[in-house]
Amino acid sequence: MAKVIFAIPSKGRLKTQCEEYLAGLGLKVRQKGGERGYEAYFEGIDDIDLRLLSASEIARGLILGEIDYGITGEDLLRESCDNLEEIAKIHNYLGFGKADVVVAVPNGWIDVQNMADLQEVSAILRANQGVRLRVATKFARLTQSFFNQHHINDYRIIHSGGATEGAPANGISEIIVDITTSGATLSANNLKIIGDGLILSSQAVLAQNLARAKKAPKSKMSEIFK
Amino acid sequence: MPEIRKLLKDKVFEFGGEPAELPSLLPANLVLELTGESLRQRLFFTNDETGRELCLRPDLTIAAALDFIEAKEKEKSYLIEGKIFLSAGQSVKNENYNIGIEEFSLSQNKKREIFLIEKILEALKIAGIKSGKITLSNGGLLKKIIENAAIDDVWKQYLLFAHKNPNQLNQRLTEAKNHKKTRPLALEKSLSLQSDEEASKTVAEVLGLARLAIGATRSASDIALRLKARAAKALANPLPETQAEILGEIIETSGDIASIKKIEELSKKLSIENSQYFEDLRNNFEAISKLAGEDFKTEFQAAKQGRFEYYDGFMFEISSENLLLAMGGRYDGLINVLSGGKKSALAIGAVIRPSVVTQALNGGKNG
Repeated sequence: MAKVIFAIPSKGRLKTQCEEYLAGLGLKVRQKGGERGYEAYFEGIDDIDLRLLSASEIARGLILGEIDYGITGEDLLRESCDNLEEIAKIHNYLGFGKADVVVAVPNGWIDVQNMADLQEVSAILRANQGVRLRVATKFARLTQSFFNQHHINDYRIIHSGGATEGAPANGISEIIVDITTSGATLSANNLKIIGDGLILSSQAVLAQNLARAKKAPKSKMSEIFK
Repeated sequence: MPEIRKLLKDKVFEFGGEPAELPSLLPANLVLELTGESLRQRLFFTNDETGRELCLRPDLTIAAALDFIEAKEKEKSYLIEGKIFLSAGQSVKNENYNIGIEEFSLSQNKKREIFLIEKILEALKIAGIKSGKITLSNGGLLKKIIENAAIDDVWKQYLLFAHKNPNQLNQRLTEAKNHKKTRPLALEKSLSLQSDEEASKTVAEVLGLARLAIGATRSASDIALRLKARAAKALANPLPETQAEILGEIIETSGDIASIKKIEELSKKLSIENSQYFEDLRNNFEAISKLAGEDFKTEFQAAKQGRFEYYDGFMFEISSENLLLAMGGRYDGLINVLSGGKKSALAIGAVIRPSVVTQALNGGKNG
C-alpha cells in the first residue's frame, strides 16, 4: 500500500525541536537503531513513511515532488524555486529554527547604509573599474530577486560552498548574502548588515507538495491538515 | 531548416571575413560580467578539471571577442555559425543556432555599419521575410546627452551611472526632480570642506582608529569621494522640473527620422550643440531605411536596453511577426574590457537566428 512520505531533519537541535512539535500533534517519532539510526517511524502509525534527511534534501524533495510533507527552513524552500506557492503549501510556521538572510558589507564601508547606497557603489565600481560588485552567497535565487527589487544590476554572484563570511577578507567577493541568527559571526569577520538588507526572516516550516497532495493516499496527515 | 540556414549563411558571409570555429565553453565569470545576473538562469554551467566554472556560450560575439584577444592579429573578421546555448525563452522554441559576423579593426568607417545591415536584410529577404520592422538605436546616445547637458554636476554624475538602463534612468530622474535638501552627516560635511586628498587621508585615519575593514576593491579614497558626493547631493537643489522633463522626453522618444530631429531640438534646450552627431544619426537612418524599402518600417529609439550590455554605439534589431530575427551593432569597448586593457579594437557585429526566421515564415507559430 502506498504511504505518505514525511521527512524531518536528521540531526541536531532542529531534529529535537521537530520531534517536540510533532509529539504535540500526536505523532511520536521513534528511531530504529537508536539515536544514530537513520530509519524512523511514527509510533502506532502505519500509513506514513517517516524519513530522516538533511534540511536541504527535504527542501529539494518537496520541490521535486519526491516527498509529501517535510519540515525544513523556509529559506531553503524559497531558494529552491521561484514560485514556491505553486509547488508547495506551507501549513505551519513552527516558531523555531529562526534565522535571517541578510545583505552584509565590510564594516568599513561607512558610506553604505542601505540598498540605495549599495546600488550607487555598484554603479561606481562598474563605471570606474569596469567590474561588477561580487556577492558571495549560497542563496543565489533570493539574492537575485532582492537585488532586482532594489534595482541593482551591476553585480555578480559568487557561489559559496561554506564560510561565506570569510569571502570579502579573502578577496573572493566585496559583499555577502548569508544567513545569520545573532550577527556575531558577521561582526567577527568585520561585516555589518545594511539597514534595509533583510531579505528573509526564516524559520522552520511544515510544507506539503501540492502535486502529490492531489493523489496522496489518506493518512493521519490528512486528518491533521485538512 | 537546412535550406534556410544555407540561404542566410551564403548571403551574410558576403560581408567578408574568415570562417571560424569558436569555443563552445567560455569562462563563466567573463560571461556573467558582461551579461549580468539576469541571464544566469538561462545559462548552462559546468566546471573544468581545476574547478573553474565554465558555461556554454550564450552568444557568438563573446566567443569571437575572446578568440580575437588571443589572436596575434590586430584586425580580424569572423564569419561564424554555430549553436548558442540558452534555455528556452517564452516565444522561441529553440534558440540554439546563430549565423553571424564579427569584425574587429583599428579603423572603421560608417559605411561598414550600413553594409552590415545591408547583408543581414538581403539575407532575410532572400529567405522569404517580406516585411517587418527595423529598430535603430545608439548605445552611447544617452551618455553623450547627459555628459554634455548643462545640468548641475551632482545630477549629471547621478544620472550617468544609469545611462544604460532606461528604467533606472527614469527612476533617478524622478528622484532628482523630487529631491529635498537635507543636512549632510557631520563626517560628510567635514569632508566636503577638504580637498580630495585631505578627505582620503581623513577617512583612512577614521577607519584605522576604529579598526574597520574595507576589503580589497574599494579604497579609503573611494569612500571619501562618495561621502563628499553625498554631502554635495544633500545640499543640492533638486533637478529643475523642466530639465527633468526634457531628459524624460528624450528617453521616451521613438519613431521615424523626425524623432532624431526631435531629440536634437530637445538637446539644444539643455545647451547641447552637436549638429554633426545628429546629422550622422539621420544619415545612418536614411541609408538603412532606403535599404529596407517600404515593406520594412524603420524606427529610431533613443533608449534601448540590449540583451547584452556591450553595445556602445549604433545598435539594430530586425523583427517580423513580433519575433526578433536579427540584431547587431557596435561594441568598441568590449575587447578592452575583456582583455583587461591589454588589447583594443573597434568592433561591429551582427547575428541572424535561423530558427526564428523559420518561425516567422510560419506566421509566428512554433515548428
